[in-house]
Amino acid sequence: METSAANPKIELALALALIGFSGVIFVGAAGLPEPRFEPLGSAAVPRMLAGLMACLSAIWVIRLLPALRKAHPAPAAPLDPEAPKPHPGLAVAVLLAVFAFVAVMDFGLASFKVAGIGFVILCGFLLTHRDLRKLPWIVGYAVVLVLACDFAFTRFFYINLP
Amino acid sequence: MPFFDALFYLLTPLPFVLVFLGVALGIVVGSIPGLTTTMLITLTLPLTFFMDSVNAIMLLVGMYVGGVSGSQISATLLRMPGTPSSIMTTFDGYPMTQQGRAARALGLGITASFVGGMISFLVLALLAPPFSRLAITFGPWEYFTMVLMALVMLSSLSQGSLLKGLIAACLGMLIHMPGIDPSSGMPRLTFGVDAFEGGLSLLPVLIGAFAISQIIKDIINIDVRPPKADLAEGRMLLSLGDCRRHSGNFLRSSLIGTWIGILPGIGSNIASMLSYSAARSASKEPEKFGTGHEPGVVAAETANNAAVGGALIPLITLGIPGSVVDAILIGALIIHNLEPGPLLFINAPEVAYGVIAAYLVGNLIMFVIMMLAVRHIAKVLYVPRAFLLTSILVFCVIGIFAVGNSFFDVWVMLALGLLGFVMERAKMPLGPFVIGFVLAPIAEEHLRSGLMSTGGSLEPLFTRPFAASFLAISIASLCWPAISTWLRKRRAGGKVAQG
Repeated sequence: METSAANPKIELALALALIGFSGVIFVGAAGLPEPRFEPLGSAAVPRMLAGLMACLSAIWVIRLLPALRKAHPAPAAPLDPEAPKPHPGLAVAVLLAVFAFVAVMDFGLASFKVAGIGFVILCGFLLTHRDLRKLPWIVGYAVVLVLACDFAFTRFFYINLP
Repeated sequence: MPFFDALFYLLTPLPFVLVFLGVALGIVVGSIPGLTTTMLITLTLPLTFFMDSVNAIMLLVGMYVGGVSGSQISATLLRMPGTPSSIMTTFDGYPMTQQGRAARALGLGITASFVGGMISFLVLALLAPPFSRLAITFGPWEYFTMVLMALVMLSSLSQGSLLKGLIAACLGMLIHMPGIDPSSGMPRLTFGVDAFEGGLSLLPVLIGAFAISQIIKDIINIDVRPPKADLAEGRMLLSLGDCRRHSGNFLRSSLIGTWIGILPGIGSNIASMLSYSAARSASKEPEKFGTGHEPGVVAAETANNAAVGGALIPLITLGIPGSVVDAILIGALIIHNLEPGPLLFINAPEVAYGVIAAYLVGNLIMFVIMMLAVRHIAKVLYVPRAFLLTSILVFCVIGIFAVGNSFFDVWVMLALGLLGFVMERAKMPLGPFVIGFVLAPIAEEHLRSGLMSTGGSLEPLFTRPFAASFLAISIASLCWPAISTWLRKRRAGGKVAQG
């Protein structure tokens, strides 16, 4: 049997989400018209794919069950003080910043220049672990980067940025 | 000769500068662990929208060649492959660096990449035109079964488990389903959302799945800093004696790489693994592999570059991607209103032969740039990540907005980025997902037109020789993991019984 190095809980969540997504496709395909001019029709392929994906995901869930039953907190590995720490919280913070950056422009609250400079400063500040000494460099970089992008897209590619 | 027309066109200033720029950028990005060639090409796609199609494709092919070659720099100096295709290079390249032979290892790798690329170019130039003439005779059943074969082979051979690969391929194909049904012209699976009527565009899906998910991973590991590598003085250019000594390895690895590249869905990482294994099996000193042995570097780097040329053959002759990057190149052709497949040689010969010419010139440029500047390029390994990742995020958002002038695409990109990240955490390969997305319309269109032509009968699947062969290969690829496990168990059982 295949073994996996991934976290079985993440795998289970994804497998169940995919089964749910297959269900949504089935519901959506049920409302499509029957084929008239051809044997297959527009609903057949989505139904086939959703059915196949649901079956395969169900097999995945069944294969995961033994791993989930065995799953118990692993003994804490000795920490290497030299090893760099992962920063999942930082990734979440940067992602929220990206969502805010896009939302601000999408809802017309700020132009690309304003939102972009703000985003680059915030993102750079977070990614340098809020090091205030690097902030002036980040501000300068943000202004140059965003103005250069704005110039290239509006003057060179003739695209109206928000 | 259309090839020479394309070559002479490429040697004019603008195309040459674009290929040079593509190769240089590919080398730089490929050398930085965490940034991939796939990411570079997907991020460049929106910019090529404003270019002439031939120039755009030449630029992207240059990036492809540069990226695969550049990844050996970090693989050799830091034991951190820039792309998966250089994993095998770390086995002997890094030990050579530790022994103070970094320049020699890079010189070998660069020459191997160049030789692999040139041999693969010859195969590409010789095989592509007759392949395309054969492919013109293919009908919908051949195309449908070929897409099926590509997806199954990619799912079973690319990486990880077959089950997850198949699920990823189904998901990629399903994500392509919303939009206007190509046959009836009616909206399908739009759930009342107007924005879905246009379907999900290729670029947001590609950039989300590859660039955004990679950035999330890089941010989580932002404190991982590459150790300082000492690229000591040393001769990089190989002597004639060196070339003669490695000639058998060059040839064998090039042929393995090219052949693996031609097979749909198998990337250059598998090519370098197989080539490395073959070199070790053929060696009189197999125990030296993994300890800084020169043939190990030669085998890995020759094959991964040769695979690029091999993978371009199904791309330009059949419209079937040999790897994820090839799927993106197919996307580039579609964006430029070109139909990938055998008709490319008839409808747009300048593009088909332009790909071949760009591959040749790209390899030559790669060799010159790498030999002259690799010591300087190695410094980019230490660019501060905070600035790099922030800039890439801005380019992703604004690049996607610029293509469709729509924020819907930007939201799709972010959603696909999260999905890609979760898929990678669950060890589900992204390759079958993206290739499924690219090939879904081709598979559906050909299946439906095939069924229309036969009145709903599936008989041609078994009576048409090419379609039946492709179907048989698909079934064999599906069954092979189970058969190989059974054979392994049987052998192990036999040994226990003998013992």
